[in-house]
Amino acid sequence: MIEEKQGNGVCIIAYNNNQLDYVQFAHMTAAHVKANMKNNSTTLITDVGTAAWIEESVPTRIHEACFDQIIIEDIVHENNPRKHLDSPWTEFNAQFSNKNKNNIYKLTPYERTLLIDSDYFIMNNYYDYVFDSDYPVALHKNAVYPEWRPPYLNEQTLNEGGIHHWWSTAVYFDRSEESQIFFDIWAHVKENWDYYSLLYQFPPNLFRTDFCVSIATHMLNGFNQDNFIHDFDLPLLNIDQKDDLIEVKGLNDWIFLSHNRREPWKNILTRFQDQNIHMMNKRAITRHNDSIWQGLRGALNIE
Amino acid sequence: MDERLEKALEFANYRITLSTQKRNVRNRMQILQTVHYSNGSFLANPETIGFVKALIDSNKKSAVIVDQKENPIEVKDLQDFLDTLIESYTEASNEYKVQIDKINKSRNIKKLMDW
Repeated sequence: MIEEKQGNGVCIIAYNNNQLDYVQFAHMTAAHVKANMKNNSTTLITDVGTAAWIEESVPTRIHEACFDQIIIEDIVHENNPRKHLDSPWTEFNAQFSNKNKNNIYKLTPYERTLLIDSDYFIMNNYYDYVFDSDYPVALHKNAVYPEWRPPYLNEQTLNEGGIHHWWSTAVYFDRSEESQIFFDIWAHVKENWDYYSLLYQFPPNLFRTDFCVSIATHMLNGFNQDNFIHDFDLPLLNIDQKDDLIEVKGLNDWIFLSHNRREPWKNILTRFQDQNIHMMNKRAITRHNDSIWQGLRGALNIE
Repeated sequence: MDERLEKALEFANYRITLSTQKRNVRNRMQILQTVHYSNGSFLANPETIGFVKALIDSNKKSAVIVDQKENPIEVKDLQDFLDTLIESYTEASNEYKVQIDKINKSRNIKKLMDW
């Protein structure tokens, strides 16, 4: 671990499981950061097993073009199985290794860090502004799905009459005392998960970092709707697990088939250009691996 | 299926896709219009631009302006702020025009998707 934190940068955490190659996603995501952001120093945080897989599966020139640093932790992941969907018609279970996400505060090599999920594709420079701000912590408060569908009810509030749901897909933080408190609360909620699930009335089965940050934000906002924690202003654009990626037309130009929840026989084409995309359907990314890299190779001058 | 019904459904799907695309483009415009200045969050729209211009016309060099999140933001250089707002608005509206013109010319789903 690097003790001296310097400069601005983006961190991505990737731990592989037997179903999903998060390393592959993390490299694509980092490459998009490199291509589209000004503050584009990138660090990959991973475990020993996944690091070995990187050496085997990712060509060195691609890895070096995507990441400036790699931090390898020797950790054992706690069991946290999650059901995934790939379009409405296919489902599978996979381990969801997210319990040490809050350790990013210790692990980051940067003074000001944007932590993004390995399936969050940065297709514009919107987040650059936050590195020039005085905000200690920033997250997305709201989200939308294709066709501007609202999030599911449990993604709006933690329960029917509960606190607001915030997203841990993109978390910005600095080295301030307030940031430290935010991550301490996150760790505390994780360690007392069953208690907080009773207190805030959410299902405890799946450990979700979104719930941890929602509770931390609620507390830091003075147990109300104050705005001490900065909201990134624009909603997070989620591509649902039931939506599918149809075509990658260019580096920042993707076409999707949007699945209608109320009328499941309906699938509508929707195209996003230069908008950041949270790809929840992971296998759809894998299917378009070649076409995604085609745009990235050109943008990053990778042979 | 009856040919007329098939065409009607095809046209309905085109209209849904068209309206979604217009909304996507409007969202892209909003991204470009969002201005972060002195730790405040502003929308570079005619209202904000007109208000800042009015302050400058009243011989103000600096002012406190309430941002989108209801925070009072001290703007020390109003002219610089106005320039930033106009630049963002111009970039956003130009891109908006190009994209909307392109969408309006697309008379079916294939053209909307550049297929």
